[in-house]
Amino acid sequence: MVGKTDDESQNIHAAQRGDVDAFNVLVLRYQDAAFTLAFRLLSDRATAADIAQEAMIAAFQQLRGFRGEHFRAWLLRIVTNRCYDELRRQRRRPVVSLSPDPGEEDLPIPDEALSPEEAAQQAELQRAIQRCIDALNPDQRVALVLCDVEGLEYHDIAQSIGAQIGTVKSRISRARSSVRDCLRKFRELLPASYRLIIDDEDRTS
Amino acid sequence: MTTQDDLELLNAYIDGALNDQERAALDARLQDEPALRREYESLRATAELLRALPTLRSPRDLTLTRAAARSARVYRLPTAAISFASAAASILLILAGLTVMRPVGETAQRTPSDQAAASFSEAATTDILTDGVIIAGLPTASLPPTQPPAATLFAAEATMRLPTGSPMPADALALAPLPGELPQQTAQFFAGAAQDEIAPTETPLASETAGDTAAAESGLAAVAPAAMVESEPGGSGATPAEEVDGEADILTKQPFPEAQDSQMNLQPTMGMERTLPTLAEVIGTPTRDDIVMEAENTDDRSTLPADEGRIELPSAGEAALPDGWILIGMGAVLGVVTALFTLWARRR
Repeated sequence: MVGKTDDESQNIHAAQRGDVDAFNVLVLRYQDAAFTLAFRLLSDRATAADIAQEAMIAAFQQLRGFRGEHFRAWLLRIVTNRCYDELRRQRRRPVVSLSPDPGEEDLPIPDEALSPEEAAQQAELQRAIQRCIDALNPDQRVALVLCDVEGLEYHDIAQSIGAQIGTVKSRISRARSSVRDCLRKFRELLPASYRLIIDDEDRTS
Repeated sequence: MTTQDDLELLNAYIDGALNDQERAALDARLQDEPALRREYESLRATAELLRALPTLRSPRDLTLTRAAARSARVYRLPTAAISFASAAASILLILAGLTVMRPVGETAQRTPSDQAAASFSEAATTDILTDGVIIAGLPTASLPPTQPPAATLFAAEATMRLPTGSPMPADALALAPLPGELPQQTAQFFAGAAQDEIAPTETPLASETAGDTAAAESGLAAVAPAAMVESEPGGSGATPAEEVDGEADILTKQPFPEAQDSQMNLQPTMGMERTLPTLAEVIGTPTRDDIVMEAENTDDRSTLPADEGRIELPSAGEAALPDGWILIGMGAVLGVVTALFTLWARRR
């Protein structure tokens, strides 16, 4: 871990001096995280790839202003800001997808350890969760994805989106409650443990 | 029923964002409140599902080519700085325009007495030029028809003094009658000019001043020779240009014969001021300062009709009026351009 951090710092310093190869080492390390964040926020594979690519170029441009923070959090902040811009643009000019089932293309690469049936069920569940995320408003969506998908702490999220920690808490709480309520519609796709909790809650309420 | 505060508390608990004290308090509540416990379990399961979402593989390599890196380093227009500077310049232009225009508003609100005082102070700024008219008596006459600023200003001065100190002109002018060197025709000629100047004010004093004493008429003429250039002498068949020439001859031949050599000079030189005595010194005519002081000591000006204060003067504010509008216009145009540029930059 220490070696990785040292290596990352060296690459960052080299990239700040204009070394493209050193910067590309950082890109290869974090491009999946950048794309995943963009996809969870935008729910479109092609747009997410474009936004992630733009974020990488922007990161190279802004790298001289980087001052020893966590590079991953710094990079994901750039991706988040680009996604915010894209969401605002989509709100002004809504895009109608020509694909009959856009979720079909957005499946991750199947896990080799799962059987085809299990893999299909897993993919269905992930699409259901993504639809519940898409139903959130952009602010709640960003907060929840940064917290649960990217694993950032409240403090880092607040810094990324330029909000108070109290605001982040509130957004995450509302978003997670909304996703929980949304997932009830996909009961047959949920894991057995999750179904038991829901059934128990329904019985007592 | 779980409140919103409880939900935030539970989610912060799930995310490990509570301090030790808060966590201990919530643990105790979860033991005692089954509904809160069920709420916690469902939220925790939801968080686990979300956290179990896999990291997706990027559909393409996002590394930068050298060409892309070069283009990324290309100088980008500092649009924000340009917009700010342009907006600031626009505001400054408009403020400058308003500042230049302010004297116009002040002039419009002057009282007649204020205008008279302002007229005197404005006249003081043209002392050299108008003194040149008085001293030599010829630069005014030699002014080209298209460029009579000295004559116009002096006519305005005379017009201002006569109505503002109603009893003043007769008194003040009587103090210093011409010693009789000027021909009677010239005195009548000046009296006509005085009537022309005083008549618009419609004060009883005007006719009195023009008609009663020849001394007053002569004195007025001595004070306001330039006014005649602007006003049409009553009953005279000569053209204004001829009258001006005649005036110049009269004034230059009598007291200052040597000044004829400098007829082409519009303003007296320093040398002329030293060598030539002023008309006031020679003939005892009250100087402008005398008349001003007399006018200021006269209280009757406050009894004048309001119309008498309305005198068309080419004040500094009026002269600058077009400049003010030009500055404001430039500022407005720059503001519009700034707004368009900012919109374009944001869209880009």
